[in-house]
Amino acid sequence: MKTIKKYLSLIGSFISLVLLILVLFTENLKIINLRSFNGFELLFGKNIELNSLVIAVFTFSFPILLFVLFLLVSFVFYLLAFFKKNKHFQFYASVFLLLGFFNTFISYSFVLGNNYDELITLGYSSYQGGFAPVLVGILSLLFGAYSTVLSYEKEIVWAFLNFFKKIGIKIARFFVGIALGFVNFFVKKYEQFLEDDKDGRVSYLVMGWSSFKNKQYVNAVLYFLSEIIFIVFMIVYGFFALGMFFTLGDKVYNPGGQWDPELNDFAPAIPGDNSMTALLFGIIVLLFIFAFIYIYNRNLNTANHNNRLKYFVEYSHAYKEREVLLKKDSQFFLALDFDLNDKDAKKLYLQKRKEFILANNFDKLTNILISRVKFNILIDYDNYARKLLLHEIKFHEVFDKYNLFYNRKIVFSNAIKLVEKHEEILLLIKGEHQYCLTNDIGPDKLKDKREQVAIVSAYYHIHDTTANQVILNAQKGYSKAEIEGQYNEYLAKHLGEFDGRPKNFKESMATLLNENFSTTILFLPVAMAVIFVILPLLFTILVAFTNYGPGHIPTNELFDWVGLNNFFSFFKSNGASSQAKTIGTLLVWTIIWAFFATFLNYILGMLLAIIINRKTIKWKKFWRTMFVISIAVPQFVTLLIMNRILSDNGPINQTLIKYGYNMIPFLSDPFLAKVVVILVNCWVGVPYTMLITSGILMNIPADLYEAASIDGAGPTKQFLKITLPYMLFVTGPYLITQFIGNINNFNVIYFLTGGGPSNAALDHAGDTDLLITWLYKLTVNEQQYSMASTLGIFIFAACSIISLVLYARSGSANSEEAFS
Amino acid sequence: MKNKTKFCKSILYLSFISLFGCVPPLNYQSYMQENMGGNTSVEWQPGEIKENINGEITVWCPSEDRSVTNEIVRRFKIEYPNVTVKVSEVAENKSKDQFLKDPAKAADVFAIVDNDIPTLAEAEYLFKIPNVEVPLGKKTINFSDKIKSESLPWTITPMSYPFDGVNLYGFPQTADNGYLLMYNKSLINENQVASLETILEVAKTNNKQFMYDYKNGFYLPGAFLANGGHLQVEFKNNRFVQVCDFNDNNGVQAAERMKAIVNEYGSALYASSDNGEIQTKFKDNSALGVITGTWNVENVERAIGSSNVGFARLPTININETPKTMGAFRGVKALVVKSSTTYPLAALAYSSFATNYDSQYLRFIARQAGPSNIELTELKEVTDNKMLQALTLSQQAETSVSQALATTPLFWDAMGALGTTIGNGNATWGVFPNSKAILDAIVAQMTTN
Repeated sequence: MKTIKKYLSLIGSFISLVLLILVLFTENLKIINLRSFNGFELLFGKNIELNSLVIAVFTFSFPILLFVLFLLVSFVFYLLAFFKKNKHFQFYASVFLLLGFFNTFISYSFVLGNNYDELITLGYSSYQGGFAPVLVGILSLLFGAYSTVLSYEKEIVWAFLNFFKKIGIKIARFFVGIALGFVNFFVKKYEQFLEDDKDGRVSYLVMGWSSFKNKQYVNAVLYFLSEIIFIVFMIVYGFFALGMFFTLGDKVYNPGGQWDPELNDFAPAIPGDNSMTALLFGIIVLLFIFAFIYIYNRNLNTANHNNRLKYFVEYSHAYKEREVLLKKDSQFFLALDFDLNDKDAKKLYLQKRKEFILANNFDKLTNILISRVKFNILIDYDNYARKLLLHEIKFHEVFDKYNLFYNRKIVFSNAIKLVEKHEEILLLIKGEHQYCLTNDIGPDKLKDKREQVAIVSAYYHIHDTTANQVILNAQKGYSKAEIEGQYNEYLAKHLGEFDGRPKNFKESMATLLNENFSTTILFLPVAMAVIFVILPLLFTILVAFTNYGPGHIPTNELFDWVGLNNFFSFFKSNGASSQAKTIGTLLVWTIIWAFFATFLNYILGMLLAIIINRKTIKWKKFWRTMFVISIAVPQFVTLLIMNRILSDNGPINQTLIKYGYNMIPFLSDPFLAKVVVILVNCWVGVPYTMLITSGILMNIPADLYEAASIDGAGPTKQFLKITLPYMLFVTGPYLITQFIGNINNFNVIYFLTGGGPSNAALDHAGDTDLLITWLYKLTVNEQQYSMASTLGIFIFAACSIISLVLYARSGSANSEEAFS
Repeated sequence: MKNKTKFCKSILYLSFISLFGCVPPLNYQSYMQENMGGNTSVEWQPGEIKENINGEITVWCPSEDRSVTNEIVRRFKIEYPNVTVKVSEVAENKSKDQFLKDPAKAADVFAIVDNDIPTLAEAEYLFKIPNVEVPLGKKTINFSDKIKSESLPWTITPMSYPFDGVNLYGFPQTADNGYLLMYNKSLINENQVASLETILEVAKTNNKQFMYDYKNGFYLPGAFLANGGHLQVEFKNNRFVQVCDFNDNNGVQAAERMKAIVNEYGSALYASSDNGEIQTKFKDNSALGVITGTWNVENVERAIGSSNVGFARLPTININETPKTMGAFRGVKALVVKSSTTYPLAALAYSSFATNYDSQYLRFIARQAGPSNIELTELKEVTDNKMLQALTLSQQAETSVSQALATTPLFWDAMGALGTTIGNGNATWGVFPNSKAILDAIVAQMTTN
């Protein structure tokens, strides 16, 4: 074991070399327009024409090509690891070995389903090298995994486990959060019911009653009317629509058509239920119910608020008295010197504080003696304190708005009193005051805003908020008149809110033009979004749980709920070209396509921008214009033209044929078609990335490069250490968007190849089909709407996971401060 | 300034004129003027005026049939004065999809290809043609019996569901929805077009091309049918299922032979059935022949002139050194009535009228459309028509099958995938190890519901 560990990289390089040779000499090398042959034939010659060899392009089957590349890279890294004694290289080598295995094995066999026979015959019959490739794959997996673990052991295992643990926790939190949200809602309503007066409780049955009793007549009428309308609607149509939604229709269409001699006419057709309208109207009714629940909730909240307003005046008196206590207790707090991280000290403090509160008979009043931030820290660390203090602050939270108003009043009052002390305050925050010298608080420490607030707060015995305000006033040099003016303006704006009287309709409407103007302005866009986006989206998602497809197409046929059957059917292997195999194959190609389409466009665009941006290049504008001209041509036109040019009967192949050469199947050979779509996408996409990266490049500070040059960094190093990180930071979210966009890049594939060439091994899909284009074919050509909908959900889930994971790990999300 | 104004005006006029420079829809009267020696009238005598039939119906017809349909509607209004007919244009091969978009708003009567009838009939979208006497004017008529007595026998079963020949859903309109061989007489002669290999040899020698879209599932089955392949649709568990034996030994031989032909003749064999391309290649004399449907006759005649166009049945293909006649699909275009029509009697009356002897004759005269009416097929004008003759020979070959009775919608993509693999330019069969494997895969794909 020790020996293996010691010579792991050497063994690894040997194994990867052996595997590489095995693959090369057993896999089929497909040469265009010639029959296929393998490496043995190549070496020992077998009627291979020289001119064909010269002009032909070697095309491995795509996964085999990747496997070969990975093995080669793995071999190189293992050698480097051995000679340089570098664990990193050993790790990279192991990963590539693993990747190679997964790439081929998964793309050919795992996604075929769990049929063992099919695994052997279908998955590996294409290898034509007998069982050798299977052995290669298995060895690659075993050694790669062993080597990977040995390279880093703990870090690998923990990183791997933590990654899935974090994702698991987030997913669990999401669902638990939803469930808790429901529970908390009902708990809150119950607490409100207990708190409410008689009028409030009647409002639970008769909407608008509390508003009526509190002279909010228009509100009362509106709430009551909405209740009546809802009840009538549900009785007349709503319950019926809900019933239809759950059954999706029972009555089958009767075409009639029998000749009735008595009527002297044909029996008329009797329409049956329409499952599609049942689903659609069911969703609309459900949304209507949710809207009513929202209005009902507002009615209850209004009743509760009206009830609390009755105690408002009493509360406002009590809150004023709090100020007295604040002065007393703040001194107490400051006198107590303890470390917030020390749990015992905190417990002691809380105990003493509780005794203090009770001794002063302030147990019913709010009593926030320390700033809210510190308060929350205490809450986090001490559950007992949390329970105790939550009870105390309940009253405070309920009247949070008033507290804010009242605090603001106090701040203004104190700020007015301290106007004459502005010069002194400035000295304090600069560290030049005697107080600072006495307490050894230097100017360096006072560069932090929090320290400034602390020292002013301590010196004048005022709250942090007030201290913050007076510092600002001092720095801006406000006069007493100016501060008084601000105070009066504030009072004029808010005083009316706290007179203990519920707002009437006119005042409520006025808020829609003031503090609630955002609600007003967003109402129409939200309504449009619900009708034109949310509703169709919900409909499409629900279709995935039905059997809407051939044999179940409205209006004459009904479809039904089938639960998760459609999702399961994607993973079942059934026949030679099952959907399981198709989705697996297309998923692999979609990821590969998205990666290369994004990566190549980005890198090539960046390189082009860098080259044009160089000082030695003249006529920069001209070059930029030239490369950007292709944007002027609409993308689909470019793609259609490319389709014509590169087709088997296109001008390029016709020219080749004319001069005696064999045609090149750009779009009809599976591998070449994939390469062509990637390259054509570069033609279409590089100008855009060139423009974006040009702008960013011009903004990179030149002194960074100068400093790098002075330090001896060459162009490559400067690119890797300065340009690339900068670009990646700025364009990180853009890259993620592009990657996700390319996963769903319908246009390029559809217009260029139509998803072809057709592949008999896939279910109504071609070799260059992405999941999205396959979805289109399932819908338009096959009318398999439910399967297409299921696929759409699958694509959405994949895109969401990828974008969230990528963004969370990107520099833009994590290194903002470092970048700044 | 004056010159500038003149120039602008002339450009404006030219642009205006060029709007009319596009190919006008075929007008049967102008066609007859050109091709029938100036005889612009097709005799027709109205029958009994049926005033008891009333209603308003809408009709879909293909654009190339518009002028004929207009004439038929004109005649129909004479016989049925209380029925209003509105016409709009939808192609027969698109009418099913157009119908399914919104059945409530679809036409009462529309033209359809026969292989689309089962889908609509299964979903009860089509009105079953009554097999009882219904009053039409002073007499009664049994629509179903009328169709059975007047139409070519092979056109009846595709009109029925489930292919029992009893419950009919369509009125046969034309019986020429198949394909044949058209060739340029100046580049290849009648004897040479009898064999596919000979055609390709001539093409290769003279640096020409023969257009045969073997990558298309519509044309490719020809070789398989030639070698004894069977295609059929069976009705099981209330669904149509495809039955296909293309993966047996005969099918393997056919597939291997097609691949050998493709690889041997290379560019001499041009795989395309695009209407525009056919016209272009005939026009520039790069194509000497094409296997295509009757819908391209006009294109080819326009390209090289009708006197240069030759028609022939499908050629033979050598499989195991035995020449075998390539099979073809034969098809029927029909008029169908939607089941939810408000005026079924008016709709049935129109459908019957528009597919009777006189209407089919009119269509034949105007567009050389192959009739389905037995009496009409025996007319000298029809039997003398070389195109229809060749088509009939192709359709009536032993190896030919009815498209409606032989294929389900699952058939086409699978065969297309096979065609793509056959045309991949080398000896491999894509990801499959041999021809048998790929045939097994495509047969499984088309037969799995």
